[in-house]
Amino acid sequence: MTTAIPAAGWTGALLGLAASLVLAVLGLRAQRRPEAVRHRQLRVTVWLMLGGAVLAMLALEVALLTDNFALAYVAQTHSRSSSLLFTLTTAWSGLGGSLVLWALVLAGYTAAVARGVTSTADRLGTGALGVLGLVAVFFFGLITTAANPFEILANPPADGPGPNPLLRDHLMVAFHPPMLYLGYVGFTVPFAFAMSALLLRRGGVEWLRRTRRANLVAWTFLTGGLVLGGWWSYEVLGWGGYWAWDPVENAALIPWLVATAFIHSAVIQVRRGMLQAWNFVLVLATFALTILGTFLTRSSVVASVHSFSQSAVGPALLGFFMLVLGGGFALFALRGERVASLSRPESLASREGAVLVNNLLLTLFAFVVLLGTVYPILVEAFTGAQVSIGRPYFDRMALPLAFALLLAMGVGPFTPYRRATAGLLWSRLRFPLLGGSAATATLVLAGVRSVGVLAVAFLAVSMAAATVRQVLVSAPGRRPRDVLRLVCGQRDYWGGQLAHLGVALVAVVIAVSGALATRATLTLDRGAATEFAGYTVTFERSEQHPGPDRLITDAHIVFRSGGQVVRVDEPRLSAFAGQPQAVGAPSVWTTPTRDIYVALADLSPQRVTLNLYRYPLMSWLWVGGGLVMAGGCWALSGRTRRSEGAELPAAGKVPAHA
Amino acid sequence: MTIDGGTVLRSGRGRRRQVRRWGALAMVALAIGIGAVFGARLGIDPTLVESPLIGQQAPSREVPYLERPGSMSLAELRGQVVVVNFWASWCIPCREEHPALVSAAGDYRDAGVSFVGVNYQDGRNSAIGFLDELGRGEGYRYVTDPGSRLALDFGVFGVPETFVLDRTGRIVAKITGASNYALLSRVLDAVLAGQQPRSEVIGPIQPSPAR
Amino acid sequence: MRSRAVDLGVAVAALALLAVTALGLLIGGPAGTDRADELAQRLRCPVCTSVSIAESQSDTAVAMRQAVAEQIDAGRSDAEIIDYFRARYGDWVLIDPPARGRTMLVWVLPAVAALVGFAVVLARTRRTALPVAELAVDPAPAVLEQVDQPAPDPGHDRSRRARVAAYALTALAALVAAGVLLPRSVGERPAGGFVTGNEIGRPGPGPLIRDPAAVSDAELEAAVAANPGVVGMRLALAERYLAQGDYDRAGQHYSEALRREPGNPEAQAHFGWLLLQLGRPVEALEWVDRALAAPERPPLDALWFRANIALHGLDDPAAALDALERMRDRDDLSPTVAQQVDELAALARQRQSGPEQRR
Repeated sequence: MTTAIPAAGWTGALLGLAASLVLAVLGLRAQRRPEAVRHRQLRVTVWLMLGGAVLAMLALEVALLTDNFALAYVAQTHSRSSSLLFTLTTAWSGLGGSLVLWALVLAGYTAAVARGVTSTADRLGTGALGVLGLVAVFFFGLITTAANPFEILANPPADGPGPNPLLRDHLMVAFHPPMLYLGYVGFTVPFAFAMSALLLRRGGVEWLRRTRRANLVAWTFLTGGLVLGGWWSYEVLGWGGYWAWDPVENAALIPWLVATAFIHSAVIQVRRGMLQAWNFVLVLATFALTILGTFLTRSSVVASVHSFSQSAVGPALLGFFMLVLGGGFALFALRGERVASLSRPESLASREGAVLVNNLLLTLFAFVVLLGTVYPILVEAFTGAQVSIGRPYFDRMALPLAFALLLAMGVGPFTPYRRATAGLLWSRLRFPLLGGSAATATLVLAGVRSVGVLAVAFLAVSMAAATVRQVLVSAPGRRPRDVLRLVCGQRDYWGGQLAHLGVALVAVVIAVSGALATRATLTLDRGAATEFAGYTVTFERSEQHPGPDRLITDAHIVFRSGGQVVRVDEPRLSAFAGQPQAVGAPSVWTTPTRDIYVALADLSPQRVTLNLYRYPLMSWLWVGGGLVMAGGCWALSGRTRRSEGAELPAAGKVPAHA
Repeated sequence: MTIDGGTVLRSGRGRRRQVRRWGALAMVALAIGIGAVFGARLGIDPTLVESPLIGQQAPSREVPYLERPGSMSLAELRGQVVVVNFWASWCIPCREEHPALVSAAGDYRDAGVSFVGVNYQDGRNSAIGFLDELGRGEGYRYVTDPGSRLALDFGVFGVPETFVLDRTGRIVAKITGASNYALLSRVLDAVLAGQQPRSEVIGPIQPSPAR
Repeated sequence: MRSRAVDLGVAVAALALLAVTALGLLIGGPAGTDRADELAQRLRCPVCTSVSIAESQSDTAVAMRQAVAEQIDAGRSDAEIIDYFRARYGDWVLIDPPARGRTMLVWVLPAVAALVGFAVVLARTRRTALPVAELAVDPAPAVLEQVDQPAPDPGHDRSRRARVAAYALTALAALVAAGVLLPRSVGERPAGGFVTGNEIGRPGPGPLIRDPAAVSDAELEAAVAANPGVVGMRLALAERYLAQGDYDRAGQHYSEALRREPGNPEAQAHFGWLLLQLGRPVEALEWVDRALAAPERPPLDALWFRANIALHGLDDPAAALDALERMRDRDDLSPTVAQQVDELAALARQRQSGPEQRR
């Protein structure tokens, strides 16, 4: 019985590999000669591929749940004492399992695309399926060769070390990796359609319209994955921050930046037919950067806290990246003239111009982050010297770019197409600017002296005010029902505005919680007290709690205000059997106005060393991230317009002036 | 006129096609270049950093002895070849290299080589227990490093790291990771003969203890 | 016309509020900076290699932070402190890449890319001569374009002037932003620290007071009373009393400090010094020797006290010279202190040879 499960998983992986090979062949052939392939064949192949991926994943989960240590993957990453939740998430805690998850998500997206390909006459669609098949061949190939999780051990151990302690401490491990994968893998779909369009030498908005849903889904999930990653880092890791410019974090941010540029630029192409070459380049770059990011994460070419151990997956991913980069861009270079737009934005002072500037800024941002991440590798490869590039560099580069982006975000959505006159812009933005100036004046009078905070507050408040004004002005009436009808009628625009509001909120919180934070490192004897952020902080005692798979030692830190106990925080250290390093967890006291963050630096029964932080407005960062995701979902919920030739403008379109 | 326009148009398109062909080639070359650069770094541990202290004078900080009162400084040992080994009781590779260090200490004592073992970020009792269990070398000086200041002076990333000083007190070699007798003797023979030995990366270092 | 009045009113009000903001900023002045923390943010932790020593909790990071603090107190400049670590760990330890040498490109390339990008974008947004009817692109409904905006043909000159004015204003705003924001962010560290992660706005209330000269005795007493467990502050207060000659109060605080931390070498050594002032050199020597016997490296002061006790209290120049020799061998000896050591050593030698001459 013990070998039936691994055999089933192996079968699933092989089935997936075979099906994806066949899909690649059939799809590309169908694109060349639609009559050579039957539609049913394509459908069946896609289902077989999905079935194989599901079988592999199920087998892995069943093996984990039944403590089947004959499987190499289970022996390396699972322990009998893990709880049910963390047993399930162990499926993607290790390299092999995470690739199975990737293949599963890819198969799912392929099946969704296949549903939209109704006949082999749809050459764009069949070509896209072929390209998706090629990508799936690579990943199934990895699963069956280099990173095989279904290897059987001759002498299975009685118990394993369990997943990394950091992956056993918090619920977030169930959400953050799957969301990231749903995001990364989702961008394979527009990539496949773009490649298909290039192969067909057919430009146009067709491929963009068909991938609109996949774009938004992927982007929303990737945003969610990044925000959750920051939240996890903040709540769980205990170093007091949410973003460390770690190479693995950067590897997730870079594709997101380029994907955001792509989403904006796609709108312009659908509406005005411009920036087509940009869109091809952006979608190719998004996919290539996803692969590069995966390579950097899994190959230990960069030193990072997140690094997986070395494996044969590194060279394979590098080879695949070279193929995508070289092949994709070469194809684009060769077929480029057929797909380039014949018209360009007339002036920068227009919505097309604003999106063009936005493209440039986001691409520049991605370039800077990529440069900072790989520069040490390049320097060491060429000169042998070792340099480091860390937070100071990235912060300095991000700051002006972020301001420029906020500015573009504040002005762009209210700029009309084709050409904007100064008068029109002024009439749309004058009251919002007044609101922004009022906000900064208020802040200055309240004692805020940081230029960064004031500038961000100005831009964010102006942007929010402009959005509100736009809603009120464009709604058919003043009643809430009319506003609701407006917002539901043009979901892509208003979803985008909601996302912009979220970004503005995130920017404000980053500026405020950065510039106005307070920090202290204190050593307290048992029973001793000190002052922090207006509270009296006492170290009462330290307790030990044994758990099923861990020993938790915590410190009771009591906060008093005016003599009354207002809060007891319990930051803790968890020691797991079979793992050398104990995991510290901070205690975060969240209120709408500020977070008080307590992390243990050192703990003994009679003395504790604490790192205390007070971050104003911190919880709004996660709210802002949620708003961005909500904006994406809102835009998704609009009906897709079918590509049936020219269409009439939708009702309630944003009027030219107000 | 039509012929002229046609010729212009055709040659224009032909030139554009050539530009695009070159563009495609450039992209492929770029991809191969990037692959080569990253590929060359595969398999190399990114956490290993070379020491800039080779050729520099060793620090002369006073450090207290582990097991007896008083302190010493590396400056006192000038005139001898000195092997400075950073170790800790919680360090697993240190256990592997300890017998080699003890033997080398005994064998090279008459040749004018002194061994100094610096206990790194450790508890005194655990350190003494380690030595009780695995043995002490003859003439081997065991010191502690309160506040890790000597480790900072030597640019230590983790343990075990071994530095070899020549008779004038200059650092001439660094061994990162657990050393072995063959390597130690090769390096010491080279230094005693006045040659420049090679620094070696033998294995992994443990940067911090298990809690 | 009403629209014009509204325009003017709004513009004036907005400018007035912005002027208030600017005034407030200029009057307020920059927030305080924590130099030790800024330097720590620029150094990479050798153990937890993905963060700076300001964020890392490893023992090595703690030791490095202490080394930074000591060097700041010794009056070294930022560049000297950075070079201290570079000499030992290599360029690897700097996560703030210097804008010269091997890391120059990492600062230059983004600027070059930005310039090239903007130039390309500007160049490609000129009106093209090609017909708008596009062959390969889906005919975007011309209807859409018309609904968006009425053709601006009437008053073309006026709109052109307005456009130029808009560009000029934008350029001015960009220049101002570049002049104010960019130097702040690319130049010296801005007052307030970094964008992401943990920051120092104002140093939080902690046990160590950064600028002792500014705090009065009464304030320090109050702080010590409020934080009775914080020994370092108590010792600072006791030292003040000692320097003022208020031996009673000094003695009280030293006793309290030693009650809380019996093994604190600084407390022991300074208590010994107090005892010397009170004319009890034998007990003084006992306490100072306790400080010197501590497992950590003894404070430099302890050796100085020992020398003084031996010479002035017990008339034992040999012991004094021994202690002074040990001070000389230390590497945390600043030039002024070295001079004092030499002077005392000369005195001790004189005393040593003196009685022999007399005999």
